[in-house]
Amino acid sequence: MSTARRTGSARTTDIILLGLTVAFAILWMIPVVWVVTMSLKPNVELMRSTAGFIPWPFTIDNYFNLVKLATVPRWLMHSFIVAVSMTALVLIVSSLAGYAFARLDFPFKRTLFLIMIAGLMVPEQAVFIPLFTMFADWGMHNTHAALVAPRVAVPIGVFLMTQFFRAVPRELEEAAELDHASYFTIFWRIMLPLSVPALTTLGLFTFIFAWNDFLWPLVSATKAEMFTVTVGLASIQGNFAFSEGLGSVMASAVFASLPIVILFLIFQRFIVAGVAMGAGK
Amino acid sequence: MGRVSLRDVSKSYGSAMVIPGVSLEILEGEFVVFVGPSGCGKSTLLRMIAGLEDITGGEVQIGGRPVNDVAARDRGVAMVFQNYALYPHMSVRENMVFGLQNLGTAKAEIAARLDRAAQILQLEPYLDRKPRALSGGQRQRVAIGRAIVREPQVFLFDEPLSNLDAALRVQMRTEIAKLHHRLGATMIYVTHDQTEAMTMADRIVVLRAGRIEQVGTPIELYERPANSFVAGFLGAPKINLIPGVLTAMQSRTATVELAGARVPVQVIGGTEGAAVTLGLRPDVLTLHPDGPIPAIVDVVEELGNVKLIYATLPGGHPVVAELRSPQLPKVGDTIRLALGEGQRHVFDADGQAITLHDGPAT
Repeated sequence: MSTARRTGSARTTDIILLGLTVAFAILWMIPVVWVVTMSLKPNVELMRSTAGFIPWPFTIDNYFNLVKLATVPRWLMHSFIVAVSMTALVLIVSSLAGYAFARLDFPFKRTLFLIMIAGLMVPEQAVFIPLFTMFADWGMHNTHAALVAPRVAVPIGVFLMTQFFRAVPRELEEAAELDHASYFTIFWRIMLPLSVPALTTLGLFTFIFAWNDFLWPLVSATKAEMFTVTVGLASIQGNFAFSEGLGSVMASAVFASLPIVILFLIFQRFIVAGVAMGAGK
Repeated sequence: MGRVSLRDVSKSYGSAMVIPGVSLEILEGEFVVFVGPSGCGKSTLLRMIAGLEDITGGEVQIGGRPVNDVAARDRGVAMVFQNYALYPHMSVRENMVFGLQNLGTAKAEIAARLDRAAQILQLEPYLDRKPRALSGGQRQRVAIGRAIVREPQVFLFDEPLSNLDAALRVQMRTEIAKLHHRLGATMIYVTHDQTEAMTMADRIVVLRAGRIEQVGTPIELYERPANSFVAGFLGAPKINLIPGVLTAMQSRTATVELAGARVPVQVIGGTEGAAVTLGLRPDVLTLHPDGPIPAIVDVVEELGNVKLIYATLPGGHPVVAELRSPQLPKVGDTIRLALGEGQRHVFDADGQAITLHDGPAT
């Protein structure tokens, strides 16, 4: 009797939770669907009204116009180079530094770790001007290196990897040490393979950040042929883009987000695991 | 090659001294068990031999070579950890050959050693499995296999069976003993389980608070404990340690007066009227209508071949007797316990044995 009642109340709770989840999902999806809808409508139609979630009258001209631009493939290539190299470097630096902070003994380790953590509190804008001046002095603007270098030492990445390595049982390293493994072998053959979930999560978030990065590429890449896709797409919007070319703007937004959406779909398991891992710390 | 010498070895963490100074010689091919309660420093001592803990003072030698400043990887030892410490992302095969690969051993040699170890431990069907696909006993066998393939001078075991269930523990205990017999290598084994120590060891080292209480063969320690701690630690059920007074002292005989009973004993040393502790193994006690020790039965446990009687002496002190007689008392009965054949241990007020033994330990 009581079991039946409990089952009934559990089912009601499940239904309420499901309803809330669906409601929130719809709330989150509305802007996305709206943007996609607008990207598939003619600009003239959008000047009259932007309302509605059905792309009618339908057109893919906005996307055609984008792809027709000769510079788009080049911008995509730049974004790809920057995102891939930044991801690779962030993973290398964060995992090495994280391992060192988690497991090695060296002078001022605690102080250095605190200084590194303090880096989380420095807003990006605060260092923008000195950063710009530095790279200008070195003559590095309008290069891939300039787009990538300032983003390689990421405190949150080092922190994430430090926390992960700390959770690896010490016996594994001790066993490896007794198995004649050097520090590097322990790192390379034991710790790194074990940290694949953490590395995947960090890599995905870095790639997404790098792909969406706008402010620094906008400042550093001043020549159109060095634009990344986000800066490039922003640059082609005319003066009245938000009134006369809204469809094109929305198509640009969809176009720029596509790689990230695909990445999310492929790796969503790791992203959820990574968020859970962060929550568990 | 596999001789291990500890010379006044000490360990402290800051101002806390956990091992004040231990000296011990472990002979080549010996199976030595470090036993003691939690926190007695047995694992720390093992890790110091392995090179996983720094040595604060003294010297450790392996194979006649001082190794204080030698890294763990270069000491020629292999260790089996309590939690197995298998590399979870590697297969059983990869786990077992990892050490040899790091040494740059030839592939043919690696394969031969792997085959041999897998055959000894019956691991052939599991070589391509990951550790997570193995049972606890299989994982422990892999951990042992990983040590075997290295053919080390010394095997170190840190409570390797404590995560296994009782039945598997007994099985693995036998397997490790057989392995020692087969390999003839020096093995140092840490446990808090006195049964493991008694059944496996050539010699047992009993530790308490970082000090060695006694070293000897299992039977020496069982029959001739140096003090009441060793007597209490070895043997199941535990020895009865009953407080009394030493009286009627002759040259080598005396009587221990308990509450309501007088027990004749043989002693060396001790003074008339001194407080002592009488140590009686449960199997020394028998039921007899004229027995000198009265007791009231609290609990009766039937274990098949033997029966355990838990009773209380007139002074309120608990006592346990291991009986083989077919007649059993009931709970609440007043019984009389007699002393059968077997050692009557006497410990002075400091817990040191003053028992006189006839001849060598059996």
